[in-house]
Amino acid sequence: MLRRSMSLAHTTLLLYLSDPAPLLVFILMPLGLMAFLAPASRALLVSQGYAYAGGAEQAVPGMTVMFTFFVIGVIGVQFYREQGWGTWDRLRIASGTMEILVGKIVPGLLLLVAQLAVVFAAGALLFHLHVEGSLPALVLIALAFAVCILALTMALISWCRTLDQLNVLANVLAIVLSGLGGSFAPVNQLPSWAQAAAHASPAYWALQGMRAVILEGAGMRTAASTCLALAAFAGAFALLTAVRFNAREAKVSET
Amino acid sequence: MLRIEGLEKSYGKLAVLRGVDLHVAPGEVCGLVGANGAGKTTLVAIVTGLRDAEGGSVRVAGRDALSNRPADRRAIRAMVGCAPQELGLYPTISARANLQFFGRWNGVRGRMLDRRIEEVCDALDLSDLLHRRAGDLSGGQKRRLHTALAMLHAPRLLFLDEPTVGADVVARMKLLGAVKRIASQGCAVVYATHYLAEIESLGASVAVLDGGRIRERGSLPEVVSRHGHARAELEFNGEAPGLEGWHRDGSRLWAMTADPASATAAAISRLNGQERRLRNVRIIPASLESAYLAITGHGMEEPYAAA
Repeated sequence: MLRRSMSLAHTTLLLYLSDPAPLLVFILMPLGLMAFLAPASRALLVSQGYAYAGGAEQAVPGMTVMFTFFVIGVIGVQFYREQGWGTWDRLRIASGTMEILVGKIVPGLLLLVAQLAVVFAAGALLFHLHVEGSLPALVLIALAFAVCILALTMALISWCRTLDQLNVLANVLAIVLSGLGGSFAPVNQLPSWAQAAAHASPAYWALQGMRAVILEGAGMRTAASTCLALAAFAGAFALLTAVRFNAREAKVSET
Repeated sequence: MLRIEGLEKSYGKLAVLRGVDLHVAPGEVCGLVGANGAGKTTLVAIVTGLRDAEGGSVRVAGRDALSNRPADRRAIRAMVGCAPQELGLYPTISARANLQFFGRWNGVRGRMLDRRIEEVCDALDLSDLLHRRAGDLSGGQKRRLHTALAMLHAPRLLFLDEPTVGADVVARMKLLGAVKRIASQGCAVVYATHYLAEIESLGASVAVLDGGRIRERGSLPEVVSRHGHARAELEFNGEAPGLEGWHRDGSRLWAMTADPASATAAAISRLNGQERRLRNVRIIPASLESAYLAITGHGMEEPYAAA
């Protein structure tokens, strides 16, 4: 089973690489936005008592988290195109649903991790991000967030019949959840109702954890609690997927 | 190899399959014919596990194809190859990458995979196209690649659903040759098509699916002799005269008949002097097409001349 799934994962990666433009956009765009947001973020952080802050401490994780949501559309399109290209049935004739899912999910996770890593690392280098706390803790939070976004992707694929539905929903969720979670400004700067609602966003937990590690020198204990919260979200999304996913459902890849 | 009995399937209130019985032996090519919407694609989808049946049984090499037992499903998947009516290939990667992936997906690896790709591409005239992106191939080339993907793992039961749509004459000949070859190696082939001449060319047995049931099943000569009618034509100088039981079409009279020689002789004897204007007599032998039209009732409006 694993050999087949890895074979599909390899081909899916080839398919991503055959059209890398969307992914490149979601790597370059956040870097551009960081340049705009870093000065304002610096002023904000200094006013909050982080006198040494350069602004990257807010802008880099904020934009990284926000644009990770946009990758949902890049991953999702591969599922819908399988049906549009007629290859979904071809895969199903020769194997079970689980082998197909593993073969499609693994490259999706690799894509998310690669995008997170490149944007975070490039942002850190370009905007001189200094991490006060544990770097492995930061990596762990980023990995947990990638898994959570992958689970959200699968839930959206399960519930959206058309690619257009998925793209619209993914874009709306990217802006709402990352905005609520503190991608543009720290959550304590948001209105009180938004601060209460922020807890419902996985971006909030990821950004709170990253912020604690970057600004306050937190370590693995913070990473563990953040991962737990993100795992709860991932579990809920996986449940939504399990309730609705049907390999026989016809998906519409084109309008 | 394939035993289908009493197969039933409906879409809402529309009953598509109403008790289909079909047996196909190893090495046999079975031409499955029927009008659009007759249920050919549904039949193939059920046997390949893409859809559920509502009744009946399907056995592939003795295994229950409708069972949910993982061992049965695995064994049947390994034995079955299918090129559905809709093309199924990745357009943004090369033809070779498509072949390599679907070969591995069907359990063929290493040198065996290289050998099978070479064999299948040679049989379907794809060898010069392997480096090209699948999406850049012509319609006929894509169809051949799509068919090749189903043959890579040397299946014991192969479903080809309208495999020559969009193929040119040479590509069609290559494809028919490849089907004959794989059947000669013991593979049972179910060949769904609207091109009845291809079934004649393949020397296939015939199964006519109409009204949700197999209306006729047998070898090509059997089906043609049971249901096929020849067409007799009389051509005149000037307008053809009227003649009961014959259709008039400008300067020609024509009719479908089981005994064209006797029917023609009888017609000439009833021409009442008009036979002097007779310019040509032509008899077109019974064919699968005429048999198909007779079986499905779509040829009933045509005039029938008794001998």
